[in-house]
Amino acid sequence: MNQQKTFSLFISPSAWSSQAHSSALNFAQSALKANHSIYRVFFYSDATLCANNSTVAPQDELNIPLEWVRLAKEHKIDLVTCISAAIKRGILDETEQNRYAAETHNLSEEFSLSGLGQLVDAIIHSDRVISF
Amino acid sequence: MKKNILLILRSAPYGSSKARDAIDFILTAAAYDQDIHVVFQSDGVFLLLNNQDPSQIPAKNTSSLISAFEMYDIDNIYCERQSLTERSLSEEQLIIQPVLIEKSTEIQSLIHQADTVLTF
Amino acid sequence: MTLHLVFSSPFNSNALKECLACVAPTDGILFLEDGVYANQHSQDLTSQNELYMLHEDCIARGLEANASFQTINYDDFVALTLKYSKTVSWR
Repeated sequence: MNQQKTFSLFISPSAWSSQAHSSALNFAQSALKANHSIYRVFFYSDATLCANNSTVAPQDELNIPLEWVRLAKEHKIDLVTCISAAIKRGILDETEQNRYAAETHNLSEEFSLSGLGQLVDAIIHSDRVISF
Repeated sequence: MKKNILLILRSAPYGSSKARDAIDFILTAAAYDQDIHVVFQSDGVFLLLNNQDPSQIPAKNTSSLISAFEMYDIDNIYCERQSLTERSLSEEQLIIQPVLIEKSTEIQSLIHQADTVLTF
Repeated sequence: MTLHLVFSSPFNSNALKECLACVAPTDGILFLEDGVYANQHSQDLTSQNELYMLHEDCIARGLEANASFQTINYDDFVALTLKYSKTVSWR
Protein backbone atom coordinates (compact mmCIF):
# COMPACT_ATOMS: atom_id res chain seq x y z
CA MET A 1 0.00 0.00 0.00
CA ASN A 2 3.02 2.30 0.36
CA GLN A 3 3.54 2.30 -3.38
CA GLN A 4 3.55 5.75 -4.92
CA LYS A 5 0.61 6.42 -7.20
CA THR A 6 -0.38 9.17 -9.59
CA PHE A 7 -3.66 10.98 -9.12
CA SER A 8 -5.53 13.52 -11.18
CA LEU A 9 -8.48 15.52 -9.89
CA PHE A 10 -11.45 16.68 -11.95
CA ILE A 11 -13.56 19.51 -10.56
CA SER A 12 -16.72 21.05 -12.06
CA PRO A 13 -18.64 23.01 -9.38
CA SER A 14 -17.91 26.62 -8.49
CA ALA A 15 -15.63 27.23 -5.52
CA TRP A 16 -18.20 29.66 -4.10
CA SER A 17 -21.37 27.59 -4.28
CA SER A 18 -20.06 24.14 -3.48
CA GLN A 19 -17.76 22.44 -1.00
CA ALA A 20 -16.09 20.62 -3.89
CA HIS A 21 -12.88 22.69 -3.95
CA SER A 22 -12.33 22.39 -0.19
CA SER A 23 -12.81 18.63 -0.42
CA ALA A 24 -10.45 18.39 -3.40
CA LEU A 25 -7.79 20.52 -1.65
CA ASN A 26 -8.00 18.35 1.48
CA PHE A 27 -7.73 15.23 -0.64
CA ALA A 28 -4.76 16.63 -2.57
CA GLN A 29 -2.93 17.53 0.65
CA SER A 30 -3.44 14.06 2.10
CA ALA A 31 -2.35 12.39 -1.14
CA LEU A 32 0.83 14.50 -1.31
CA LYS A 33 1.54 13.86 2.36
CA ALA A 34 1.45 10.13 1.62
CA ASN A 35 4.07 10.71 -1.13
CA HIS A 36 1.69 10.20 -4.00
CA SER A 37 1.87 12.62 -6.90
CA ILE A 38 -0.79 14.72 -8.55
CA TYR A 39 -0.39 14.76 -12.31
CA ARG A 40 -3.05 17.36 -13.02
CA VAL A 41 -6.06 19.16 -11.59
CA PHE A 42 -8.56 19.81 -14.37
CA PHE A 43 -11.10 22.59 -13.81
CA TYR A 44 -14.27 22.37 -15.87
CA SER A 45 -17.53 24.31 -16.02
CA ASP A 46 -17.99 26.77 -13.10
CA ALA A 47 -14.84 25.44 -11.42
CA THR A 48 -12.84 27.45 -14.00
CA LEU A 49 -13.86 30.65 -12.17
CA CYS A 50 -11.20 30.03 -9.57
CA ALA A 51 -8.50 30.68 -12.18
CA ASN A 52 -9.39 34.38 -11.96
CA ASN A 53 -6.45 36.24 -10.40
CA SER A 54 -8.63 39.05 -9.00
CA THR A 55 -10.81 37.20 -6.52
CA VAL A 56 -11.00 38.74 -3.07
CA ALA A 57 -11.95 36.56 -0.11
CA PRO A 58 -13.56 37.93 3.07
CA GLN A 59 -10.92 38.11 5.81
CA ASP A 60 -12.28 35.20 7.81
CA GLU A 61 -12.72 32.90 4.81
CA LEU A 62 -10.32 30.68 2.92
CA ASN A 63 -9.24 32.11 -0.44
CA ILE A 64 -9.72 28.97 -2.52
CA PRO A 65 -7.99 30.22 -5.71
CA LEU A 66 -4.99 31.22 -3.60
CA GLU A 67 -4.94 27.76 -1.97
CA TRP A 68 -4.73 26.15 -5.41
CA VAL A 69 -1.91 28.50 -6.41
CA ARG A 70 -0.04 27.75 -3.19
CA LEU A 71 -0.43 23.99 -3.64
CA ALA A 72 0.63 24.17 -7.29
CA LYS A 73 3.73 26.22 -6.47
CA GLU A 74 4.80 24.01 -3.62
CA HIS A 75 4.30 20.69 -5.40
CA LYS A 76 4.61 21.66 -9.08
CA ILE A 77 1.07 20.60 -9.92
CA ASP A 78 -0.37 21.25 -13.36
CA LEU A 79 -3.57 23.30 -12.94
CA VAL A 80 -5.50 23.25 -16.21
CA THR A 81 -8.70 25.21 -16.82
CA CYS A 82 -10.91 24.16 -19.70
CA ILE A 83 -10.42 26.93 -22.26
CA SER A 84 -13.94 26.97 -23.68
CA ALA A 85 -15.54 26.92 -20.22
CA ALA A 86 -13.14 29.61 -18.97
CA ILE A 87 -13.30 32.15 -21.77
CA LYS A 88 -17.10 32.25 -21.80
CA ARG A 89 -16.90 33.05 -18.08
CA GLY A 90 -14.45 35.87 -18.72
CA ILE A 91 -11.27 34.10 -17.67
CA LEU A 92 -8.66 35.03 -20.30
CA ASP A 93 -4.92 34.82 -20.66
CA GLU A 94 -3.00 37.31 -22.75
CA THR A 95 -3.33 35.26 -25.94
CA GLU A 96 -7.11 35.03 -25.62
CA GLN A 97 -7.33 38.70 -24.66
CA ASN A 98 -5.61 39.61 -27.92
CA ARG A 99 -7.58 37.08 -29.97
CA TYR A 100 -10.93 38.48 -28.81
CA ALA A 101 -9.76 42.08 -28.33
CA ALA A 102 -10.88 41.92 -24.70
CA GLU A 103 -10.07 44.70 -22.25
CA THR A 104 -7.96 42.69 -19.88
CA HIS A 105 -6.51 39.32 -19.05
CA ASN A 106 -6.98 37.79 -15.62
CA LEU A 107 -5.78 34.20 -15.67
CA SER A 108 -3.97 33.38 -12.46
CA GLU A 109 -0.25 32.68 -12.93
CA GLU A 110 -0.28 29.03 -11.89
CA PHE A 111 -3.21 28.11 -14.14
CA SER A 112 -3.19 27.39 -17.85
CA LEU A 113 -6.00 27.40 -20.41
CA SER A 114 -6.27 24.27 -22.50
CA GLY A 115 -8.74 21.92 -24.14
CA LEU A 116 -10.64 18.91 -22.86
CA GLY A 117 -7.91 16.80 -24.44
CA GLN A 118 -5.93 17.57 -21.27
CA LEU A 119 -8.58 15.73 -19.26
CA VAL A 120 -8.30 12.75 -21.61
CA ASP A 121 -4.52 12.94 -21.19
CA ALA A 122 -4.95 13.00 -17.39
CA ILE A 123 -7.13 9.89 -17.57
CA ILE A 124 -4.47 8.16 -19.67
CA HIS A 125 -1.56 9.09 -17.38
CA SER A 126 -3.06 8.73 -13.89
CA ASP A 127 -3.62 5.69 -11.72
CA ARG A 128 -6.78 7.31 -10.34
CA VAL A 129 -8.94 10.19 -11.49
CA ILE A 130 -11.11 11.50 -8.67
CA SER A 131 -14.09 13.72 -9.54
CA PHE A 132 -15.19 16.35 -7.06
CA MET B 1 -2.94 4.79 -25.19
CA LYS B 2 -6.55 3.72 -25.21
CA LYS B 3 -8.62 3.77 -22.03
CA ASN B 4 -12.11 2.47 -21.40
CA ILE B 5 -14.00 5.58 -20.29
CA LEU B 6 -17.56 5.22 -19.05
CA LEU B 7 -19.80 8.28 -18.94
CA ILE B 8 -23.00 8.16 -16.90
CA LEU B 9 -25.36 10.94 -18.03
CA ARG B 10 -27.92 11.59 -15.28
CA SER B 11 -29.03 15.12 -16.10
CA ALA B 12 -31.79 16.41 -18.36
CA PRO B 13 -30.90 18.85 -21.16
CA TYR B 14 -31.23 22.68 -21.13
CA GLY B 15 -32.06 23.27 -17.45
CA SER B 16 -28.39 22.92 -16.57
CA SER B 17 -25.14 22.77 -18.53
CA LYS B 18 -24.21 19.31 -17.23
CA ALA B 19 -25.37 17.32 -20.25
CA ARG B 20 -23.67 19.74 -22.67
CA ASP B 21 -20.46 19.53 -20.64
CA ALA B 22 -20.65 15.73 -20.81
CA ILE B 23 -21.29 15.69 -24.56
CA ASP B 24 -18.38 18.07 -25.21
CA PHE B 25 -16.12 15.73 -23.26
CA ILE B 26 -17.45 12.62 -25.05
CA LEU B 27 -16.77 14.16 -28.48
CA THR B 28 -13.26 15.17 -27.41
CA ALA B 29 -12.46 11.75 -25.95
CA ALA B 30 -13.73 10.14 -29.16
CA ALA B 31 -11.46 12.42 -31.19
CA TYR B 32 -8.58 11.15 -29.03
CA ASP B 33 -9.58 7.61 -30.03
CA GLN B 34 -10.60 6.44 -26.57
CA ASP B 35 -12.92 3.50 -25.90
CA ILE B 36 -16.10 5.36 -24.91
CA HIS B 37 -19.17 3.90 -23.26
CA VAL B 38 -22.18 6.07 -22.50
CA VAL B 39 -25.01 5.20 -20.13
CA PHE B 40 -28.18 7.29 -19.94
CA GLN B 41 -29.61 7.01 -16.46
CA SER B 42 -32.26 8.79 -14.42
CA ASP B 43 -33.16 12.24 -15.90
CA GLY B 44 -30.38 11.67 -18.44
CA VAL B 45 -32.85 9.58 -20.48
CA PHE B 46 -34.68 12.84 -21.33
CA LEU B 47 -31.66 13.65 -23.51
CA LEU B 48 -32.83 10.87 -25.82
CA LEU B 49 -36.43 12.05 -26.22
CA ASN B 50 -37.35 12.81 -29.84
CA ASN B 51 -38.93 16.05 -31.17
CA GLN B 52 -36.79 18.38 -29.07
CA ASP B 53 -36.72 21.96 -30.37
CA PRO B 54 -34.77 24.26 -28.05
CA SER B 55 -34.47 27.00 -30.72
CA GLN B 56 -36.70 29.39 -28.78
CA ILE B 57 -34.79 29.16 -25.48
CA PRO B 58 -32.44 29.44 -27.43
CA ALA B 59 -30.06 26.56 -26.85
CA LYS B 60 -28.13 24.10 -28.97
CA ASN B 61 -30.08 20.90 -29.62
CA THR B 62 -28.30 18.25 -27.56
CA SER B 63 -30.32 15.46 -29.18
CA SER B 64 -28.79 16.26 -32.58
CA LEU B 65 -25.34 16.08 -31.01
CA ILE B 66 -26.21 12.68 -29.54
CA SER B 67 -27.59 11.51 -32.90
CA ALA B 68 -24.15 12.31 -34.33
CA PHE B 69 -22.35 10.00 -31.86
CA GLU B 70 -22.44 7.21 -34.43
CA MET B 71 -20.51 9.37 -36.90
CA TYR B 72 -17.74 9.65 -34.31
CA ASP B 73 -17.72 5.86 -33.85
CA ILE B 74 -19.28 6.14 -30.40
CA ASP B 75 -21.31 2.95 -30.65
CA ASN B 76 -21.49 1.72 -27.08
CA ILE B 77 -24.60 3.51 -25.91
CA TYR B 78 -26.81 2.19 -23.17
CA CYS B 79 -30.00 3.31 -21.46
CA GLU B 80 -31.53 2.11 -18.23
CA ARG B 81 -34.93 0.54 -18.92
CA GLN B 82 -36.18 1.39 -15.44
CA SER B 83 -35.32 5.08 -15.84
CA LEU B 84 -37.46 5.11 -19.02
CA THR B 85 -40.35 3.30 -17.34
CA GLU B 86 -40.31 5.60 -14.30
CA ARG B 87 -40.61 8.57 -16.69
CA SER B 88 -43.42 7.10 -18.83
CA LEU B 89 -41.14 6.87 -21.86
CA SER B 90 -41.02 4.07 -24.40
CA GLU B 91 -38.22 3.01 -26.74
CA GLU B 92 -40.19 4.33 -29.74
CA GLN B 93 -39.87 7.90 -28.42
CA LEU B 94 -36.07 7.85 -28.50
CA ILE B 95 -33.86 9.50 -31.12
CA ILE B 96 -31.43 6.57 -31.18
CA GLN B 97 -31.62 2.87 -30.33
CA PRO B 98 -29.45 2.39 -27.26
CA VAL B 99 -28.80 -1.00 -25.70
CA LEU B 100 -31.39 -1.26 -22.95
CA ILE B 101 -30.06 -2.13 -19.53
CA GLU B 102 -32.56 -4.45 -17.91
CA LYS B 103 -30.68 -5.51 -14.81
CA SER B 104 -28.40 -3.60 -12.44
CA THR B 105 -25.73 -6.27 -12.91
CA GLU B 106 -25.31 -5.03 -16.49
CA ILE B 107 -24.42 -1.51 -15.40
CA GLN B 108 -22.22 -2.95 -12.66
CA SER B 109 -20.19 -4.85 -15.24
CA LEU B 110 -19.84 -1.71 -17.43
CA ILE B 111 -18.40 0.08 -14.39
CA HIS B 112 -16.23 -2.93 -13.64
CA GLN B 113 -14.75 -2.96 -17.16
CA ALA B 114 -14.08 0.79 -17.24
CA ASP B 115 -10.72 2.39 -16.43
CA THR B 116 -12.39 5.66 -15.50
CA VAL B 117 -16.02 6.54 -14.81
CA LEU B 118 -17.34 10.10 -14.98
CA THR B 119 -20.89 11.06 -14.05
CA PHE B 120 -22.62 14.22 -15.22
CA MET C 1 -14.21 -3.27 -6.81
CA THR C 2 -15.33 0.32 -7.06
CA LEU C 3 -15.51 3.05 -4.44
CA HIS C 4 -18.61 5.18 -4.90
CA LEU C 5 -18.45 8.74 -3.58
CA VAL C 6 -21.81 10.21 -2.58
CA PHE C 7 -21.66 14.01 -2.19
CA SER C 8 -25.33 14.96 -1.86
CA SER C 9 -27.99 14.60 0.80
CA PRO C 10 -30.44 11.76 0.08
CA PHE C 11 -33.21 14.10 1.25
CA ASN C 12 -32.86 16.52 -1.66
CA SER C 13 -31.03 14.64 -4.39
CA ASN C 14 -31.30 11.35 -6.27
CA ALA C 15 -27.52 10.88 -6.11
CA LEU C 16 -27.71 8.05 -3.57
CA LYS C 17 -30.58 6.34 -5.37
CA GLU C 18 -28.71 6.52 -8.68
CA CYS C 19 -25.55 5.26 -7.00
CA LEU C 20 -27.36 2.31 -5.43
CA ALA C 21 -28.67 1.32 -8.88
CA CYS C 22 -25.02 0.80 -9.90
CA VAL C 23 -23.43 -0.70 -6.80
CA ALA C 24 -22.01 -4.22 -6.95
CA PRO C 25 -21.86 -6.37 -3.79
CA THR C 26 -18.07 -5.92 -3.46
CA ASP C 27 -18.18 -2.12 -3.92
CA GLY C 28 -17.69 0.42 -1.14
CA ILE C 29 -19.62 3.64 -0.62
CA LEU C 30 -18.08 6.75 0.95
CA PHE C 31 -20.38 9.52 2.09
CA LEU C 32 -18.88 13.01 2.12
CA GLU C 33 -19.97 16.66 2.02
CA ASP C 34 -23.81 16.70 2.29
CA GLY C 35 -23.75 12.98 1.50
CA VAL C 36 -23.11 12.37 5.21
CA TYR C 37 -26.78 13.13 5.89
CA ALA C 38 -27.34 9.55 4.68
CA ASN C 39 -26.54 8.80 8.33
CA GLN C 40 -30.12 9.87 9.10
CA HIS C 41 -31.53 7.82 6.19
CA SER C 42 -29.79 4.47 6.55
CA GLN C 43 -32.84 2.29 5.90
CA ASP C 44 -32.07 2.46 2.15
CA LEU C 45 -28.59 1.03 2.53
CA THR C 46 -27.79 -2.63 2.27
CA SER C 47 -25.40 -4.15 4.74
CA GLN C 48 -23.51 -6.11 2.05
CA ASN C 49 -21.42 -3.08 1.06
CA GLU C 50 -18.65 -1.46 3.06
CA LEU C 51 -19.99 1.95 4.09
CA TYR C 52 -17.74 4.85 5.04
CA MET C 53 -18.38 8.34 6.40
CA LEU C 54 -15.91 11.21 6.11
CA HIS C 55 -15.17 12.32 9.67
CA GLU C 56 -14.48 15.99 8.87
CA ASP C 57 -17.84 16.38 7.11
CA CYS C 58 -19.72 14.60 9.92
CA ILE C 59 -18.36 16.76 12.72
CA ALA C 60 -18.86 19.91 10.64
CA ARG C 61 -22.56 19.08 10.49
CA GLY C 62 -22.99 17.89 14.07
CA LEU C 63 -23.48 14.27 13.09
CA GLU C 64 -22.16 11.18 14.72
CA ALA C 65 -21.97 8.28 12.28
CA ASN C 66 -24.08 5.32 13.36
CA ALA C 67 -22.82 1.75 13.60
CA SER C 68 -23.48 0.95 9.92
CA PHE C 69 -20.60 3.19 8.89
CA GLN C 70 -16.83 3.22 9.32
CA THR C 71 -15.65 6.74 10.03
CA ILE C 72 -12.55 7.75 8.08
CA ASN C 73 -10.43 10.88 7.62
CA TYR C 74 -8.86 12.36 4.45
CA ASP C 75 -5.70 10.23 4.79
CA ASP C 76 -7.89 7.12 4.92
CA PHE C 77 -9.90 8.47 1.98
CA VAL C 78 -6.73 8.60 -0.15
CA ALA C 79 -5.76 5.07 0.90
CA LEU C 80 -9.29 3.85 0.18
CA THR C 81 -9.19 5.16 -3.42
CA LEU C 82 -6.18 2.87 -3.90
CA LYS C 83 -7.72 -0.13 -2.16
CA TYR C 84 -10.53 0.03 -4.72
CA SER C 85 -9.70 -0.03 -8.43
CA LYS C 86 -11.61 3.17 -9.31
CA THR C 87 -14.00 5.76 -7.92
CA VAL C 88 -17.38 6.92 -9.20
CA SER C 89 -18.68 10.29 -7.97
CA TRP C 90 -22.36 10.96 -7.40
CA ARG C 91 -23.10 14.63 -6.77
